[in-house]
Amino acid sequence: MSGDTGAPITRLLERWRHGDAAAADALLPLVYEQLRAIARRALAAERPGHTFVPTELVHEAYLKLTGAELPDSKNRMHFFAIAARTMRQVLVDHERHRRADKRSGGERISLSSLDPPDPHQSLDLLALDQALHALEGVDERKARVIELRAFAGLEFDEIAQVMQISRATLARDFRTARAWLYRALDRQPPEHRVPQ
Amino acid sequence: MNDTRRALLLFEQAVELPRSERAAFLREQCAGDDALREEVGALLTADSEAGDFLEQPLHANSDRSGEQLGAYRLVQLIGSGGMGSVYRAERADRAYAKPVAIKLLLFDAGDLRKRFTLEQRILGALSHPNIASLLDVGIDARGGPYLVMEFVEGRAITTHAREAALDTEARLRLFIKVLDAVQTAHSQLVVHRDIKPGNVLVDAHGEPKLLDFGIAKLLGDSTPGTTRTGVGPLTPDYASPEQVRGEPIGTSSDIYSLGVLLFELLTDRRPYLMADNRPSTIERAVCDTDPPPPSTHLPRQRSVHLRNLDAVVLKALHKLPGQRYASCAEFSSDIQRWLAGEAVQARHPPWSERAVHVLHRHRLATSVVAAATFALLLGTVAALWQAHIARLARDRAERVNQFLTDMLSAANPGELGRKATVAEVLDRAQRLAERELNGDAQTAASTELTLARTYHALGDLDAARHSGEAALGAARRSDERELTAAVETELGTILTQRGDFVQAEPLLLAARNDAIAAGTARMKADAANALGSFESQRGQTARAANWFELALAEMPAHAAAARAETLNNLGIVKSAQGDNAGALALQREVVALLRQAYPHGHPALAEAIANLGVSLEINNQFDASAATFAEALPMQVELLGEEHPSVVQTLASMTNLDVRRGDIAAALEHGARAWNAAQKLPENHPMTAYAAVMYGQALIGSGRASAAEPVIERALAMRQAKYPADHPLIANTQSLLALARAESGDISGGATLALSAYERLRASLGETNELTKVAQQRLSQIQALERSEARKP
Repeated sequence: MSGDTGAPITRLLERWRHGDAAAADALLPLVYEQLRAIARRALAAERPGHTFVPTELVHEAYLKLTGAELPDSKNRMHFFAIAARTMRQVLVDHERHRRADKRSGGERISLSSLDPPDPHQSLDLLALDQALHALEGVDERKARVIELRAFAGLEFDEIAQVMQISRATLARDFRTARAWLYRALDRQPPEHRVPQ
Repeated sequence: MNDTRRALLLFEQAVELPRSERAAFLREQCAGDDALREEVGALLTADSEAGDFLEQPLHANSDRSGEQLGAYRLVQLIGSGGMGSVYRAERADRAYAKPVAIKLLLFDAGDLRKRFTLEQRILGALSHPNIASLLDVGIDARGGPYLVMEFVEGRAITTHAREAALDTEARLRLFIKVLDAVQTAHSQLVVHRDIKPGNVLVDAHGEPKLLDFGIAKLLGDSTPGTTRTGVGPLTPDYASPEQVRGEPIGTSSDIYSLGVLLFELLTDRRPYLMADNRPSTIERAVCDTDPPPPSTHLPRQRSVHLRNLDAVVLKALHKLPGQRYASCAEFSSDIQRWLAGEAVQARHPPWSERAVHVLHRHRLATSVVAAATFALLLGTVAALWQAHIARLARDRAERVNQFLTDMLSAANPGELGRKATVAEVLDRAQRLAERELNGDAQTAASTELTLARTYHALGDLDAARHSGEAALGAARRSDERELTAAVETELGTILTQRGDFVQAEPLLLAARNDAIAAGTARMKADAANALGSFESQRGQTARAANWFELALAEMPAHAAAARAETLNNLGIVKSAQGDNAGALALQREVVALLRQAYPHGHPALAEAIANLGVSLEINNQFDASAATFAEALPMQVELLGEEHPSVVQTLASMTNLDVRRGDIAAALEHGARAWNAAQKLPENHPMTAYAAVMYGQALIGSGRASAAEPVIERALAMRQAKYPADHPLIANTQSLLALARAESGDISGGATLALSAYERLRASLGETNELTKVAQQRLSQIQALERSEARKP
């Protein structure tokens, strides 16, 4: 599917990829709306308790927006780069809304790695978001690397391409950002409790 | 911000350095700036602790905290992953109850319910102080299955070792406890499949606890989402080569994962560096790369002594399952030898010979063992039932016969539609084993032994004997005396059950000798227990008692379940000798033993206490019996919830006690409660009929015979659907129904039914049987009613 005949979003992606910053501004609201709709549906799934993978939602949004059956891999990668930030925003908005209005009884979101290193830990979404904000203030690239992996599920090679950095730099950024966030989130093992 | 940026920069440099050089580097770079040095130090610690943190794309989960699930309320989400989420939960109705962990699974139950119940029995029977118990399995209102487990609060074993600054010896001693727990599970052929630091927690007392035993399998078989490599949700760093390749796995896969755990425990590193989580990367690292000797990561000079420890770790990490330690016990013994400064059995591996190249030659053999192990897992159910039946054999009263017959039919694997499948797997495995394993006597012996145990558990004694004899030949060829002892014990037990006493005796005596010469204390005790069962079967009760007592003297203290079983066996002998009081004393001991093993309560303990209640009632100690039930019931309700077969059983037994001692009000209360809870059991659960009959008796006793009628009719319908028409339980239920009908007015109809029920029982069971006698009593009661009716004007 060529850029000229494809959906508007494909053209916008093409333009953005070729350096047109305004294209990104035009893209964001579209992506945000689509992701929010999809995420809302996923959160209100028939069976609460179902895990959903933000990455899969991003993929679904891409298919919906571009109508592409076999997505052009470069566009797809850039789309995912935008979607990572948006996905983060959608989830954080939902969680803020839920906490602000407890009576709404909305399903709370919690996040975790695919296979948590310690089953007694899970992530607090708002805390992660705040920590990422703080990291952005120190080293934005490092925060971005985490975002692309955590919220858009890009592979490391893809992240390196999108960010235009070498694998070695990526690996160093990732490791440093991870240690910093781990510490910022104060992920201590649970306190001991004296058994009865 | 500048400081943070500088800290990050220093971190990036420091983290590239060997651990031993980092401190010096930081001292130099942060001279005079302690805050900066601390900051970088904290980042380095975070780096080493972070594990898989943020490695994978996130999962979002909706949180069900606050929701009630059966008897539990979900309190807090404590973790989630691809398989589902884990919550801390509490009993909804009791503020004081201990918390449990509930794992909600992300797939629909469908027809899995039956299998879940089966697996729960297997896993629930795993009893070891260092294994977190599986307490219950249920299906939520939306059809999602969930597991209720002992809640363990602690740190991952690696974190604990680091933070408590344990030295190498302390780490090894901790690890030995882990091996002991896994050994217990393996001896019951339960494979963990997902051993990693996150599943081995250390509590506040420094005791390790293994989580999620067997759960991976429970999930692995039924989850649609497992990925192509077969690694699925498992942590690739701890997965064995056979797991990574998606091949069937057995206990040796756990030995491998334990090897990785030990490597990490000793060095704070994992054996392989994986650049990413791609399947090809994982497979290359795990299947094709030789792990480095762990001592290369230790700061000290590599001494000969340390290289021996290397050999131990590397033997567990061998690419070929057959080259690893054959058991956790062997693994543990080697570590203990090392700690004692003795020579270890592990040899330094031949580095020139890449294990990979010979792998495919052995693949088939590995699969055969694994397939048989899988089958045995199912077979274990039957073995557990046999123990259950043995325990009940002491009791002769009517309700016990009734219960026994009900449970027997529930335990029949054929009824669950699994026997055929298991048999097919087994037969195929056996054919393959005989064709393929001629060259390797030890593997052949282990395989055939597994097959023999499985056939045995499934009740196919001819096939069991065939495999047992093949195992014996191979074991004797292999010259492995410990293995030979295990085979002889098993084959001797099989022959005993077939009644081949002449052949069984020398085998069992040889087993005992071999165990004394080369086996563990547990093996000696097992052989003695088998000899006791042999003598018991052929009626030599005095000799049997001697063997059982010897077994009890030798059984290691931690083998609580095996001890409890031997005590039960001894109880059967006492009962056969007419010593109901002796049997009662033993049941008390079983309870005391399990009390010690489970100070915080456990379903097995609660059940043993309930059995003690029955035993006391048989001994006519009504008050003590009532007090005992009063302890068992709340524990069962707390651990299992009201609507559980064991709770229904205890309530029904209490009803029976109430009727016997004439406390009709209590009988009505307990009976109604049993009956109500039984309504929530799976349809046609045998315990429902049992509860109905007991409640029916209580209702008749209270003069409410017309209310008893529909309840007993329900029990009759269930039993008629389950048993052949001439089954004694059907006649017994009809006889009770006849009494209810007569008491509520239909005297002639009742009399006819009571007479026919009595005559059928007399014909099938004989005049003196308890059931026949009870039916006769009921018949005379009705005939007395008939006579008084006839005398009325």
